[in-house]
Amino acid sequence: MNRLDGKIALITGSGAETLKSEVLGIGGATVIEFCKEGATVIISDVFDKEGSEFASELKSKGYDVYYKHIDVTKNADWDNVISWIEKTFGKLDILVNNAGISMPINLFTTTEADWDKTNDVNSKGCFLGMKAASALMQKNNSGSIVNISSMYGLVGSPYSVGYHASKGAVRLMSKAAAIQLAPYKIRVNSVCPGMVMSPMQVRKKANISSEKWEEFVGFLEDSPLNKAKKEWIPTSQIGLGIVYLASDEAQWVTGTDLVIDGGQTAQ
Amino acid sequence: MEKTIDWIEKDFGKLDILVNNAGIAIRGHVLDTNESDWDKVNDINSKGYFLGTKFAGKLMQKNNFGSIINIASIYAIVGGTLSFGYAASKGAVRLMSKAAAIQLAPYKIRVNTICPGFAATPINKHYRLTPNAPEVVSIRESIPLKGFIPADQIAWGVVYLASDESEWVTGTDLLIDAGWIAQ
Repeated sequence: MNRLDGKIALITGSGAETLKSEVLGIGGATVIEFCKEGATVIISDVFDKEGSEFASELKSKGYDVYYKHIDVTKNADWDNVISWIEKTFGKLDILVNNAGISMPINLFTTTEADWDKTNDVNSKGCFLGMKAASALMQKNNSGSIVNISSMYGLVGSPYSVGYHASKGAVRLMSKAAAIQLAPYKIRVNSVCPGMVMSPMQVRKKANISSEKWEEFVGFLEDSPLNKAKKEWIPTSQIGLGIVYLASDEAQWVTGTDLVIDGGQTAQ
Repeated sequence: MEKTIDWIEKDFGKLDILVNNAGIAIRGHVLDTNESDWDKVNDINSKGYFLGTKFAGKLMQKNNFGSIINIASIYAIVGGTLSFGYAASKGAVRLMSKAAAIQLAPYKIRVNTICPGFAATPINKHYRLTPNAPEVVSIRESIPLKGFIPADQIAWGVVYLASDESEWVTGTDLLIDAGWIAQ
């Protein structure tokens, strides 16, 4: 359990839940897996109350964890936190651009404001994060950036349009950044999760009968493994994929996508 | 293959992981590839993986569990000037893995491909022996991370795909290529 020993990691969108929540989002689950592997973790989010509580819960378990406010669409928030990291630790090894939002609206029902909001958080936030973090990583000639895209960054669906655009942007800006940051030995990769058991789904499951839930699961996903296991992907499994990409085990992995989707996009 | 799978079943009662790694590379332009070269490279690299996946899959099926990792290549994704039959065989590996992933998912058997880039393996010993040869220099310069991938880094990717940390990863390709395909 030391695959991230000595590494300083910043994870966005990771403070919306606490250990008291029924389930952690991808950000929170990634924080836990990083802690277990020995990393120093900076949790960041716009939910300051939950984020601070999550950090103190983990500190009381002996992990080296901090909370900092970052609205990923605000350059000033990034600058503040990156300079705090530089002053406090002298380096940044890992950035996980995880903060993201989704709206279940299609081409016809998406307004300009919906489009802007989704693409601001998911796409522009990822750009600002990579830019701010890589300026610090560059000084050490080392770093790993993991951007959370989606299987909906690979294929289309009936449910959304701005989300697809933003996640497609994340995938391709990761590849461009991978090429541009390779001279500084900074790696950049995307993770494309499939149907994940996120806090949103848990709330839904609690409110409907088990029969209805199975119907809903069957309707929403066509992933071969989801079907076989009759469950959605636990967020910890996405966290473990991020651990692999962040660790020195993936020192030669850059500019690619790690698809964790139970086979959904293979068919 | 059948013989070994039988022996594994008798000795251990189960098989959790199969890594289809055996492969050969025969260089040759499409116009210079003869039928026997084609057959040889596709027999080992492609048919060999089919047989492995089939017989290992049958044993894994009994436990409703397993992870199969097939080694393909960056030349399963794009074309190159130096080989033809090899590209065909590695392309076959990638797509048969996806088909097998769908067909074996009901038994919770996962199937994934690893696509290594230019690796410092014995097949490529000229990377190490003649680092300044024009061909080696030009390959190295074409790689964003500017180096040849140590074999153990490919092995770490295999470990990830074989382990329970990737329980929900199936039917996909893990590229370990130093950014070569991304450009």
